[in-house]
Amino acid sequence: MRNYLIKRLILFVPTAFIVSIVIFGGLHIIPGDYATVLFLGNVEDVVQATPEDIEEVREKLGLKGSLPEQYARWFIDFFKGDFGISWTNRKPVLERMAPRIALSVELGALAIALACILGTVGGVISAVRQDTWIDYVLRSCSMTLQAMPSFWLALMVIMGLVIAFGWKPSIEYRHLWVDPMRNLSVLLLPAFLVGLRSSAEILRMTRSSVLEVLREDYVRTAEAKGLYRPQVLGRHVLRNALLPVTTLAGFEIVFAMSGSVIIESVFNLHGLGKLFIQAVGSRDYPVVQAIVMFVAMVVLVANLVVDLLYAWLDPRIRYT
Amino acid sequence: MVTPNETTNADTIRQNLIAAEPPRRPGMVKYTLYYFRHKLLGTVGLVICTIMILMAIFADVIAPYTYQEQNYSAVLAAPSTDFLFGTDNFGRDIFSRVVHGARISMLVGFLAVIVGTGVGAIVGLISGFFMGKLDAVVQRVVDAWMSFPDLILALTIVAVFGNTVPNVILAIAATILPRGVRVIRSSTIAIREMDYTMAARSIGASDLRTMFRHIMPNTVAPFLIIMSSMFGTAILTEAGLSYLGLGISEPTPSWGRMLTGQAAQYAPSAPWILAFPGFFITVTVMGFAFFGDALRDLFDPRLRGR
Repeated sequence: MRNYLIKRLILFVPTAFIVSIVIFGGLHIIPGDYATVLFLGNVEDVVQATPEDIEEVREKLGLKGSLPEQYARWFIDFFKGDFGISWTNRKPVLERMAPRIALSVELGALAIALACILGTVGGVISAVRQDTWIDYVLRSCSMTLQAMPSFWLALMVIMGLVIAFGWKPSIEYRHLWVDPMRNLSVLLLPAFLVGLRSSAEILRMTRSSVLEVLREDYVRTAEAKGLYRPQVLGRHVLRNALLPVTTLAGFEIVFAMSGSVIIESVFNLHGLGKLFIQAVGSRDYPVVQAIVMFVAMVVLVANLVVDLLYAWLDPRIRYT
Repeated sequence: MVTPNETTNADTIRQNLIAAEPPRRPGMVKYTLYYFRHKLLGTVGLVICTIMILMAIFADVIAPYTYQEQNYSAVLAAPSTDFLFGTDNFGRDIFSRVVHGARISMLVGFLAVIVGTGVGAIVGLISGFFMGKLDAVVQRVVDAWMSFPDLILALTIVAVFGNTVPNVILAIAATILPRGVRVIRSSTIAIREMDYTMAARSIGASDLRTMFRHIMPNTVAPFLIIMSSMFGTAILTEAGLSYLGLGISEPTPSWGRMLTGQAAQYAPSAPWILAFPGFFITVTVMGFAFFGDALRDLFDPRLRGR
């Protein structure tokens, strides 16, 4: 396990570095002077500004020194929690992000949890009842869900609720610790819609993996020695079949991020996704940069955790 | 040492082989029927893809109205013989707009997939062929790349370069590229260990020749599979970008954009505004997914039924 851990960590570090270099480099294609113009207000100000003024602004924007220098400063600041200054309202980026992180993280976590529950339960039912009507229904549902844009489904669901009950999605978000019921009532539907697509993917994977394990000799042995079906399923089949699903669940985090960006817009939730769209729309690059970096790091760490979890659960991985 | 007797034997076998009747191939009709019966979903997929492509090409002929034509006498009209899918809040015919929307979806999907998988395939081929340090570096970059969620990557690229059609295509291609690298790299690694690759190298074929003459043609199957399966993803990403208002800009109709803004407000009284564009996205993505699955079954029997 220790060797595996070290090997996996060695893979993580360069990837994280490359991510940061790509983000830094990518957003530095934009010339720094555009930033100066923006920061000083308008072009006339720039014309009148003395070189010292411009130098001061550039320093404020972290545009001083050579590129590697700027990169190093940005990278270190990022891990210190200093994400730079937003170009639109000139406040620290962190200040804009902080109140929104809780909502987005909760939405994502809820979505993944729902996706895992729905996906594995559906997948197991579908595999155990292979080629019956319920298998066909579940499989067609999962195929349809994978092809459906989640925002369209969300719009249709909202429309349906409005037509049927005159219901309006409540937009007032309360923090989980302040008012848990209220919080869940706001987030449950969006989280469900974000998770549906992932649950379809997980269902497919669980089904094929359970079907494969069901054909193993040890399952036949377990049944031959007279164990109840639920016992065979719980102890022998699921333990083995759900292993590969763990990896997929980790991978689905990436999809959940894409999903929540768009679902947050549909439900008008003020999460990171909404801020990201605003920042992209107003070309507020420091905010874009910070959010992309944050998301990429979350994904990388999540993948690392999933890989380690997988190795911990399945000894076959650690020793190869 | 070869004895005369052995040569004759080999000759006889060869003669027999030549003389033997070639195995009968089933006739065109029979084969098509077989395909229809056994690959029902694949056939459905193929039909959907063909319809969508034809719709995109002949949009001007099929659509009864232009996509901008506003009929103020029929604002938010329900589906009828005049307006097959009804009209939106500007009195524009939704059927015509959906038909024209197919054009942008197909164009963006097709080009993004070609660029994404094409560049990905070349990188994957090189990375898998040379292995070693180059491969290690490329794989780390691909890992890093794949840690950006699709939509966030595409949005960032559009944000930096602006939302023109070529930029949207490139942004979507960028989300597909790393997957192309992964797939083609793994099949390149398998193929470079094959006897015929060894044979080619042992008679002195250069790296380039081995790569493009012997390995590349054998990666065509996975290439086609990833292309068809990524097509759906590309269409979904495009729809997402357009919905967020950062895809192809007005007045060009796109399925994603038709769902944005005021559409949701009018939807409870005119559900057809939302229903049809989204339905077309879903059906198209499904069509390409079915077709891709059928292709995969055709090329790789090991994966059948997965």
